[in-house]
Amino acid sequence: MERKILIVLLLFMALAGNARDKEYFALFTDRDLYASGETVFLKVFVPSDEPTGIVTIDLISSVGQAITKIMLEISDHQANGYLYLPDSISSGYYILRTSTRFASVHTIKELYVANRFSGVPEQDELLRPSGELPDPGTKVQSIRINGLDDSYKRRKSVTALLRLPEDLLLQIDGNVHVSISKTNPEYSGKSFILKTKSPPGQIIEKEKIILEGIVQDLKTAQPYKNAVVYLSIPDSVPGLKSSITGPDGRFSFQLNPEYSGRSFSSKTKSPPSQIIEKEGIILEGVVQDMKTSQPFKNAVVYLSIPDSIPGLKYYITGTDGRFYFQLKGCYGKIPIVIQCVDYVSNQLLKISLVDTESLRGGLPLFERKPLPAELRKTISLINDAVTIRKLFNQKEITVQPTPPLKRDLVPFYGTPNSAVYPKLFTDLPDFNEVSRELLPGVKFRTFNRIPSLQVLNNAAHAFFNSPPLVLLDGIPVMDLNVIKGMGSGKIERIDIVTGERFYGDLLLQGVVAIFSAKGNETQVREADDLIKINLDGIEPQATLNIPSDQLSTEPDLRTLLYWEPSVKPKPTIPVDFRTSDLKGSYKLTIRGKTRDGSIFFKEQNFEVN
Amino acid sequence: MNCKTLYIIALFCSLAASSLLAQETIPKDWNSEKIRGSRFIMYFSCNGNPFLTDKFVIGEIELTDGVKIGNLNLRYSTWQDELIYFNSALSAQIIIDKNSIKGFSFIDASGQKRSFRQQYFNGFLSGYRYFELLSECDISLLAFRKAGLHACAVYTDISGVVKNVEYQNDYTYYLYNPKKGYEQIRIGKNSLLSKFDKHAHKLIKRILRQNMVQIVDEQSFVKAWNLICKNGVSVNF
Repeated sequence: MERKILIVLLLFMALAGNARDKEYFALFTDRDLYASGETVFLKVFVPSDEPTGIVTIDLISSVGQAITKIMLEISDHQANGYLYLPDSISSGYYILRTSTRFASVHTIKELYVANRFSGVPEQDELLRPSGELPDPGTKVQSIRINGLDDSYKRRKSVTALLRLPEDLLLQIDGNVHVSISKTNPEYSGKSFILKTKSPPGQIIEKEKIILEGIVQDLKTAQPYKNAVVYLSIPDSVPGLKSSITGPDGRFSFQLNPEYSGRSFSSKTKSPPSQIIEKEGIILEGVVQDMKTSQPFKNAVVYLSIPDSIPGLKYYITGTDGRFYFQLKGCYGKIPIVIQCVDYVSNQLLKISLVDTESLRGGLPLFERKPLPAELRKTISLINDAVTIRKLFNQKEITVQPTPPLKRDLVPFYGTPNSAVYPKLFTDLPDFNEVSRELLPGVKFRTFNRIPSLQVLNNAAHAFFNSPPLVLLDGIPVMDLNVIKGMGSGKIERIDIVTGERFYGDLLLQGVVAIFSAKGNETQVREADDLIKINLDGIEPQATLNIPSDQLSTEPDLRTLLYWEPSVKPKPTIPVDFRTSDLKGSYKLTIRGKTRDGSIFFKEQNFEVN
Repeated sequence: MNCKTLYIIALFCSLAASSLLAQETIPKDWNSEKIRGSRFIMYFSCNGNPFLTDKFVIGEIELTDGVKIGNLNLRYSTWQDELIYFNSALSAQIIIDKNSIKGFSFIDASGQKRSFRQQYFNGFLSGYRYFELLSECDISLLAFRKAGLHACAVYTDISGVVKNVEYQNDYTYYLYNPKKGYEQIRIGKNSLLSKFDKHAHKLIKRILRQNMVQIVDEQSFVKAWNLICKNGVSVNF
């Protein structure tokens, strides 16, 4: 009997061991060396047990500064995308980092980006990231690349055939990725895994708070050694802490819990939620009482996306004051307004979004390493090529049109009882006049300079005691002074709902929805209880632009000749491409993932003379 | 069994449970699609039942975007063709906006699943209606559960008011195909046979006889319809 139990336990342990041998995100780029103004093409292979539907890719400089980030949609355990390298970034090593909302393991890919205006950096040594190198994948010799010669002339059309063996085809998980890009033998951007134990920034260790940071030289933007950093906490008894930066420019302070004031404790006390971005982007935040700075319960948080058909999401906060919104199908940039209100006690509230960056923590160590002399030469060549492409206005990619955000056909408040178009009537100077003359069942009055609004309750044949929900271009308006000055010339349409409406657990005692003539939300101002953001949605898909005319007089200085991130695996995959005017070594790569989670690839180099 | 072994098993079980606890915890007030509607005001009180069920029943609604919300207290009003749900947070009976849902379903007192779907009716008194789905084949069998206020013999209700009207069920049945539209049908053998070509009548009668189905009520009619559908007899529709 005991032996049986032991066997079961051993099996359990073996399974647990397997579980620990977790797959990681595998991140690949089209090249390792870029100039500013170029686009990085990305391919991410996602672990098959990864529950999230979105992966974030951050571009981070060697001093830990987040330059830009993109969110990619995961489909079939894979994600494809592109990332634009702005011209404002300085030359140096950068990292691309994969992360999900609560990932403790990040895959890092190193890149070198040269600013095409500042040229080759003057310093001999630059900061390079270091980390534990993962398994680079298995080179599969049985994949054959037919029809690819050792060398080609410039602007030559080529058709190569990739032949995948039957046994491999059966093992492939999802699609394979094929690319042809220029190689630079003098530099290869490494890829590694970074494991983090807790979010960066404010880390609680043994009941102490550690604050970390970096000091940079303003001129060179390089880490600054021997700078004295002071930390002072405003108090009746003055206290001061100091730290001297090391060669990496980093400093850190360790604070005892008694030092942690409100601003610190409020962030560290509330643990992040474990909600995974399965179906869309998750916005998370906290509502606090303005007076006590404590999380506020039962606040109603509204999220609105300005549109012609008002759509509203709401959330009623719990004891932790937190709120969550899931936004499905949000692509590109989306303007969003989030505000909170306390209908019960009319307390002044403060709303803030949880800094998801701090949740996505983890940076590798950077070490000073010399810049190879050969790389300097290549950098200047790439810079010239990119500048010429920009001069000829040659665009690298074509962004696919994003699917429109799914909106309701009927406003959330239902079909209005009446819709009034004030422009059809005589000009009225303010909303008071508009309501008196044009709006049936709506009473807008100003007493002691305080405006008030009431709507008729059809069922009771009397005005509601509580104010209605007022919307301006779909955004709830709490301060009626915003609409007070709106005359008939500024209003396109007013929807009126006279009667009670229910929206989930919200009871709306009448609705007055105003649609401004301009149709923008600029009149609603940011405040402590209102946040306006341009949400970075999921990155839309893009395709690589290939100049069509072989005989064109324009220079063709492409470094990426072919990029197909998702090719359906089949016994023969044709690859049609045309060489560019850039001489040098190129590499055809096919890469994929097997069902057991391992990456396989096959590469073949050729020269363009 | 050794005590130590038991402790080890308990430890492993607790470890396994902790991994389950670490999984996603969706907040209670997740921003799922919110049900929209207006307050329900009690109907005129008289004999008969203006609702399909005597009490609220636990059911599920499907919103127009395909999202399903379950575990709702639902009641279908046959008098006004309205779906009412009870919101316990607001302690209110709410008429769900007809244009915001695709359909609803619930399990009635007899344990039978009843499914309704909202669709446009283009016949007399056209508009969006809730139809009960009795049978779903190429040609669906639908029921429009309608209650009417009918004159009756004078009676005194529980409040002592003398009344001469009562709610009575006026159910109508339709054959429906998205391409061909609606065709009214009555509960009865002759009405059923009239929807088929004459040469198929013998076959239908034989099917019904072999399966011992006698059309006497709605239930037997649905059973007969399902048998005919199963045998692939084409409807003259």
